Amino acid sequence: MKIKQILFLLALLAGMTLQAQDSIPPVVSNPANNHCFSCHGKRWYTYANQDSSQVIKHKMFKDLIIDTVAYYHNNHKSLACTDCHSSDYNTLPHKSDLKLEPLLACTDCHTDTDDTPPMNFTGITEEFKKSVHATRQNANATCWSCHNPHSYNITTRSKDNLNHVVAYDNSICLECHSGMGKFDILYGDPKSTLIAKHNWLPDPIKHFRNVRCIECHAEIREDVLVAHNIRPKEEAIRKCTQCHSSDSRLKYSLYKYQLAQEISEKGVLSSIVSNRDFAIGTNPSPLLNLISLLIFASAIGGVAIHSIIRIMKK
Amino acid sequence: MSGKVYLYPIWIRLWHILNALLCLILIITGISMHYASPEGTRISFGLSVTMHNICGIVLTANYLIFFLGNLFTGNGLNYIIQFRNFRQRMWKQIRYYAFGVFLKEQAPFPIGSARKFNPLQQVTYAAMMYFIVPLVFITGWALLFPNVIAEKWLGVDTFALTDFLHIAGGFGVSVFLIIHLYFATMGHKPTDHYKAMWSGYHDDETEHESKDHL
Repeated sequence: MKIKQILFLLALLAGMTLQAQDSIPPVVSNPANNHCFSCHGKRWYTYANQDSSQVIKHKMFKDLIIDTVAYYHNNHKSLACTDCHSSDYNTLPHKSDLKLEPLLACTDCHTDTDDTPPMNFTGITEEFKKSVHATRQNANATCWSCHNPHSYNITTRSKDNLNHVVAYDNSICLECHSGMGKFDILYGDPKSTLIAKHNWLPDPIKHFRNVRCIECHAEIREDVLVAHNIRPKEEAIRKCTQCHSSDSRLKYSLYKYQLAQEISEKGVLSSIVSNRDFAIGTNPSPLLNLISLLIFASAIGGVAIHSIIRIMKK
Repeated sequence: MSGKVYLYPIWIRLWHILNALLCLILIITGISMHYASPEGTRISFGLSVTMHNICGIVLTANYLIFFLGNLFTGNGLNYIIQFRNFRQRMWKQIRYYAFGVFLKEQAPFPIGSARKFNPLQQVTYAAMMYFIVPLVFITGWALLFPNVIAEKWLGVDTFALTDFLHIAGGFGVSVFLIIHLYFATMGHKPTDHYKAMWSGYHDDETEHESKDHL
């Protein structure tokens, strides 16, 4: 009987461990895209010369290669290429004037919905226009500069694995700001190593793994789910208590969705009781704080009463 | 005037006063960090962190002195809980604190050369020094080097758990400190125990020992 109980416990523990692991959904491709990906899904493409019937092999321009696996795992995976691009692309060879085709912006398709909490695309656009990216790069900075429509996954509304949200969102910033690639080319600053610049933090790696760059580098707007007003480096948050305090700014940014979900699922009181501990100093449980204060007050009160009676009986 | 007995050798007194000072600073800086607000704190957050870290490191070193001292001197024997008639002895001491002290009764377990702690003190001090304080500094070291903590353990956020245990343990030390400081006033005179911790000489309470309590 005991052995059975131990085995059951082990199985339960194993299940809990497995449950914690991320699962990768299977790829479901869209046949309508096969034609496009037969060239744009590869580094080399071939076509037959109509006059000589000779098969010609060319290298695909890097920016026109689509990672098909990433595409079928991204938020736009259900879309056909021609949902966003002109159907004239179905003709080969493509007409040269198609290059002048205006690209869609996110807000051409994405509008504000009743999701809780809402993304607020209008607000995002307003905030982005004020950001250092938009003001310093003008028209060169668009949604696509950070959000690749062929591989983008929205992680903000994920409530199960915050570390995944952080890693994914930070990878967007690191694409340019890793100090080794585009950022150096743009700004000619070969010394721009992220770790060195964030060495003032008590544990930079721990911070990188647990908070997004935008937590300190973007201005929070209450009605926008994800801050898009990226500020110049001089305006970055450097005060520990902005995050490590009871009214942590993380509650209005990184933890916003999770907190809202917990309140909508469990109610305000239950969410306070079970409120998870996020960062040190964010006072995870007001209930525990209250209990500790009551115990503290009881100890002081008990001591006071005891000493008064002692004095009276002296 | 009662006789004196040398109960607290110099190493215990030095350890005790240093421990008390460190705990006090750790509690103040700990509370300051715990109740920090985005606008800041009464003590600067950075200063609190630095002082808390330094005092925590010194407290650990000081604990090692206590631990080794108890291991190699007879002082450790005072922390070995006697389980014979445990409940009756505990109840006798609790009753004394709750009523007897007001009725001018003699202490049921007077302090002398053969007994340094009463049963209640023995249990409390043993729990504090062999469980709560190690819990606080071990979790404190883990928070000082957060990368050594596994992210998750059986689906539990280990960092949050370590943080919780550290705060809960620190809270336990705070409550203990209040009660300890008060109970230290319960000698023949309110200042007797404090003087004893300074000079090393404690009133030999066994001279007043009532036969009823033997």
